[in-house]
Amino acid sequence: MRTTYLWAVLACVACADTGGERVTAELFVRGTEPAALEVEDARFELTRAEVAVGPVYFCAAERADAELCERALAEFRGAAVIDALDPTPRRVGRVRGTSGEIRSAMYDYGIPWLLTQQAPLPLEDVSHSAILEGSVTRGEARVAFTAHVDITPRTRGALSVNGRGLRAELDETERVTIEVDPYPWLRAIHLDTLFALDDDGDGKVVIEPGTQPYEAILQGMQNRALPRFVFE
Amino acid sequence: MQSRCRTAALLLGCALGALPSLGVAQDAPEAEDAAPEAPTPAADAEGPADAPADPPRPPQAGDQAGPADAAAQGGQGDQAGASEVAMEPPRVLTSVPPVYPASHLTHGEHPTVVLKATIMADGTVADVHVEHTAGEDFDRAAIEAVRKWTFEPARRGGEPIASRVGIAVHFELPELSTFHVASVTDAGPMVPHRHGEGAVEHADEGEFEARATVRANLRAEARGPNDFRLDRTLLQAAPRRDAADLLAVAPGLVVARVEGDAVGHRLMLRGFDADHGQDIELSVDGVPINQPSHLHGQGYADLGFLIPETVRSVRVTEGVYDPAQGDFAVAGSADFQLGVPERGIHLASSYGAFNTFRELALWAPEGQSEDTFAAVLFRKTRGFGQNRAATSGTAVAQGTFGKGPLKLTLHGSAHAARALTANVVRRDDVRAGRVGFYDVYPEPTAESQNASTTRAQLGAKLRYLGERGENAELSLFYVFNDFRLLANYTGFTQTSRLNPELAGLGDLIEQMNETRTLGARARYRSASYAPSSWARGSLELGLAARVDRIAQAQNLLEAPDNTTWDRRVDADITAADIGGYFDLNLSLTRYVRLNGGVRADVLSYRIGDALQNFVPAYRSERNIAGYRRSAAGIAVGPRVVLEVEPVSKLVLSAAYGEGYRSPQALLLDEGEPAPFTKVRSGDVGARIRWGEHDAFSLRGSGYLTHLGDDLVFEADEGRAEAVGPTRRLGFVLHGDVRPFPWWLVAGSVTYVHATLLEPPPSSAHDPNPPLSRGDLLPYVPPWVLRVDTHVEHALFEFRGAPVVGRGGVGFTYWARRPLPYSQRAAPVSLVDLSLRATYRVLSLDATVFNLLDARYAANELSYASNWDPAAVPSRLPARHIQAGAPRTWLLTLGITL
Repeated sequence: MRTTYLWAVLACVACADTGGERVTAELFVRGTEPAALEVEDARFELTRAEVAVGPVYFCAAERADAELCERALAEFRGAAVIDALDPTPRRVGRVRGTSGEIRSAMYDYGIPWLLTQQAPLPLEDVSHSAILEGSVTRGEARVAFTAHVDITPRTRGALSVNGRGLRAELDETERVTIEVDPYPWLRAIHLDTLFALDDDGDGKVVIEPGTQPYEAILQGMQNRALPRFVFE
Repeated sequence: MQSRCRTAALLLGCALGALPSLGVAQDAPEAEDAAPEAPTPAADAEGPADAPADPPRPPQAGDQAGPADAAAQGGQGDQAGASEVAMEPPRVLTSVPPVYPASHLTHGEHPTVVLKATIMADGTVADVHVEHTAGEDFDRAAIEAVRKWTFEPARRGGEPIASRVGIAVHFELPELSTFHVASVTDAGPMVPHRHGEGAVEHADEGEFEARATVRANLRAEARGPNDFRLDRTLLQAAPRRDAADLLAVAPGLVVARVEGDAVGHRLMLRGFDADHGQDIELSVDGVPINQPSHLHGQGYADLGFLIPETVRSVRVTEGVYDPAQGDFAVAGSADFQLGVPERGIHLASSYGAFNTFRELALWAPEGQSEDTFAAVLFRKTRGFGQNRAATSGTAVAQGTFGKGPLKLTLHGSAHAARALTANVVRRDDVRAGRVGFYDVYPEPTAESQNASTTRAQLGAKLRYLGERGENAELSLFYVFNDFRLLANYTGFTQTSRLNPELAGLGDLIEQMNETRTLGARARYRSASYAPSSWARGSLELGLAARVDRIAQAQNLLEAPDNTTWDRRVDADITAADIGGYFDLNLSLTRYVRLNGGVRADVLSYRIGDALQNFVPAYRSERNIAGYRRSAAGIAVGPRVVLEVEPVSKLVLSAAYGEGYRSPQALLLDEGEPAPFTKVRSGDVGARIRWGEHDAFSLRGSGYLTHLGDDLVFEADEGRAEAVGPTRRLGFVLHGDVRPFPWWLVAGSVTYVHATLLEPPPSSAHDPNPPLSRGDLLPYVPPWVLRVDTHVEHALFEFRGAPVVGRGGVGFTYWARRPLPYSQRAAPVSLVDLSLRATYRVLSLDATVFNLLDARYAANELSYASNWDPAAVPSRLPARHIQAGAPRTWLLTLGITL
C-alpha cells in the first residue's frame, strides 16, 4: 500500500511540465461579398481583388515589430493569395505556435524583405501585394482601373504592417481566418486625379506607383482598413 | 566513506613489480615518521646491520624474479633470510586502506598497529592478529582492511609458498591536504625478517615484514549525506574520455562536452543546469577553477587542462554544507586532488576512431610522494562528424618538498587547445534531411565556428602539522586564462546595433575573455580540545581571497573572412572576493557529531563597459559611449551537519546550508548593494555499511534547495540569463558493492523535481516569457542513473609473470529532459567499455565509448533561429541539438618503467 502511494506521488510529481505547449490551428482566408463603395457622388465597383497576406507573426507584445517580436507566439510563414471578392472561407494552411496570449500581429503583403536579402522579393505564387480591377462611375463618367500594388517593408528585416492589435489565445483556437475587405482601400482615392489618369479617353486607367490613387490604396492597406484576424 | 586501494597502481605497480615507496618495518610505532609520503630510509629501520644506507629499491618493472635476483630485491643486500634457497617475497596485489575510525577524528591521534598475517600460497590472507595494539578501534580497522588485501605469494625457488608477513599500519592524522581520501600511501614490498637465531615459524614459510601508512582526514569525514569521495579505483572503473568525465561517477552529475574540445564541459547536478560551472564550485587541490563574470557563462570552468592519469581522487559535495565552500557552490562542489600513486615513468600512446592520437608521458619519481610528478599530454583528432577537429596539449609538474612539520608543494601547469565546433543543428532540419545529425550547416558562418583556450597556473602550498594534530595550510596561486569562441547559435537573425544597415550577415558571435587571477587560501585547525570525557572538538579558521582582472569582448563576425560587423561588449572588470569562515567539529559521545560554521564573503566589482550608452546614428549625440560603475556586497551563510550513529555502521544525518553565486558583473548597476544569488539547501539522509568487511554500503537522502535567481541559456547572446527564483526537490540513492577485492560495482539514482517559483519579469522584448510559475525547469533530466563496475584479476602466468586482465563498464541513463513548451528530449542510455591486459611493463587498453552507438543529443535547447538565409525566418522556438559522440574506440599501448 505504501509502495503504491509512493509511486503515485512520484508519478504525480513527474507529470508536471515546463508550461506552455505547441499548438496549431487551421488558417482560412475569405473576402467580402461583391458590392460597391459609394463615395460622394461616385461609385466604385471591383471585379477582381487579389490580396496576398503573409508572412504573418502573432506576438505577445502589445505593438509587435521585428525588434519586439524576436520570438513569436504563432506564425504563418507563407503567403496566402486571397480572392477578396469571395466570401467563402478557403483553407490555405496552418498557423503554428505556442500557447500564450496574442496581443498583436505583424505581417507583410506577400513581399518580405529578409535580413539576408538586398531588396524585398515577393514570395512564391505572389506577383503583387494586391491586384485590384474595377471601375468607378461618377455621373455619366466611367473609368475602368487596374492597380498592381506592391507593399514592402521600409528596412531590411522589418515587416510592412506592425502592431496590429489583437486579443487571442491560440490554444483556445481551432481556426484562424484572415478576412479582407478591399473596398475601404478605395475610399481615399482622389476622383479627379483618377479620372485625369485617363488622358487618352479610352475609359481605362492603370494606377501606377507615385500617383495619388496608388498611394491612397497603399495607405488604406497599411493604415486604414487592415485585414481582420478572426480566432474561433 | 571507505576508500580503497588504487587498483591501477597495483595493476601497474604490483603486477609489474613497481610498487610505491618502500619501507622496512619498524617495531616502535612512535618512531614512524608522521609524514605520509616520506619513504622510510633503511638506515632507520631495524634490519641487518649491514643494510644499505640507501632506501631499498622496489622491484622494478621488468625485473626478472629469478632466484638470484630475488634476494637482492627490496634491500636484501645481505642475502638475509634463514634459507639458503633464494626467497622471493610476496607482493601486494590489491590493498584496501583501513578506515580511520570516525570517533577518533578529532583526537589528534596517529598511532600504528602492527599486524602479523599469513599469506597463503594462493595469495589470500589466512589469518591476521595484532602484534602491537593501538586500541580496539584502530586494531579493528587495520585487521578489516588487511584481510581484504591480496598478494602475489612468496616464492622459494620459483614455487609459491605460504609466508608470514608483519605489517605496520600507520594511521596518520591529520592529512595535511584537507580533503584527501584515505589511501595507502606506503605499501612497501615485503622484506625478509631477521629472527635472530630463530628460524621461520614454519619450515615451508618465509617471513617478511612491510609497512603501510594510512591517510585520514582531520576534518569531518562527511559533510552531509551526499559528500562523496571518489577514489581512484572508482574513478578508473569505467573508461573516461577526460578528467571532467571522472565527475560522471558522482550521483546525479551529468557531464557532456557539446561545443568542442576547447570549450568547457556542460554540467548538471541535482536539477541544476550548471552550464559550464555556474552552479558547481570546481577546484583542483583547492585552487578555484571557476572564472567569475566570464563572458561565455558565469563561473565558466574548463577542466581540459587536467590529465586524468594524474587525478588521485575527487571529492564531490552535493549541497552547501561545508564552510570551506565558496563562490558557485550552489548545487555543490567538486575538488580534484592530484597525485600519481603508480611511481615510475609511464608512456602511453593511443590511436582511435576519427584519426585520434593521444600521447602521454608521465614521470612519478620513485621515492617521492604521490603528489610529486610531471606529465605531458598531446591530443589530436579529426573529431566525429563535420567541423570537430581538435588539437590540444597539456603539461603539469608539481613536487612536494620538506620533512617534518612543514611541507611545501609547488605546482605549475600549462594548457592550450584549439578545436572546431559544429555547435547546434535544428531537429526539424535533421528530420527533413537538410543537415546531418553530426554535421554542420553548409554556410561559412557555421563552418567558421571554433574555440581556442590557453591556461597557465603557478601555485605554492605550505602545510604545517603540529605534534598535537593542529595543522595549517597556506596556498598562493596565479592563474592565467584566455578564451576565444566563435559560435553561431541562431543562424541569420541579427542586425548590427552600431550600424543597422548591416544585417543578416550571419550571427557568428565572437567571445573573447581573458582572466588573470591572483589568489590565496589559508586555514588553521586547532588541536583537539576535550572539555569533558564525552565531548571533543576542534576549530578551524579559514580565509580565501582572489582578485580577478578580466578583459572581455563580444562581436559579430562575418565569415569566412572574420570581418567585424557589430560590437556588443567591450569591457574590463576587476573583481575581488574576500571570504572567511570558521568551522567547528564536535564529537558528543560516540553517537553524535556536529560539524558546522559560518562563512562570509565580500564581493567587489569595478566595471568599465565601453559600449554601454552607445548613441545610435539616428539619435542626437548627447553623451559619449561608455559606462563605468562599481558595486559591492556581502554574503553570509551558515552551514551545519548533524550526524547520529545510533548503532555501528549506520549514520543518520541532517544538513542545512546557505551558499551563493556571485553576479555577472556586466549586469550590475552603480552601487548595487546585494549582487548575489542565494541558495538555501537542506538534506536528510542515512548511510549504512554491512556484510563481511563492509563489502556493501548504501546511502540515501532527500534534499530541497531554493535558489534566489536562476539562469537559463539565452541563445541570442550565447550565454545564460536570469529567469527568477527556483526550487528543487529530490532524492539520491547510492550503493557501493565490493564483494571481492577484484570486483567493484557502484551505482546511483538521482531524482529531481525542479520548478520555477516566480516567472521571469516581463519586458518589452519578452512580454510573455515561456516559463511561468510552477513550470518545470527545462533542460535538466529528472532522473539520472549511473552504474560503474570493474573486475580485475590475474588471468594466467606467462614466463614467470602474471598477465592481469581488467574490464570496466560504465552505464549512464538520463531520463527525458523537459524542454520549453511541454516538449521532452529523448532519453539517453550510454554504455562505455574498457578492457586491459597488463604483462610486466606493458599494458594494452581497448576502450569503446558509446558501445551501442546510440545517436543522442548531448544537449538540447529551444529557441528561435533561422539557418536558411533564403527562406522566410521562423520566429518560433525550435529544438536545437548538440550531438553527442557516436561509438568511439581507442587503443592504448602503455609502458611503465
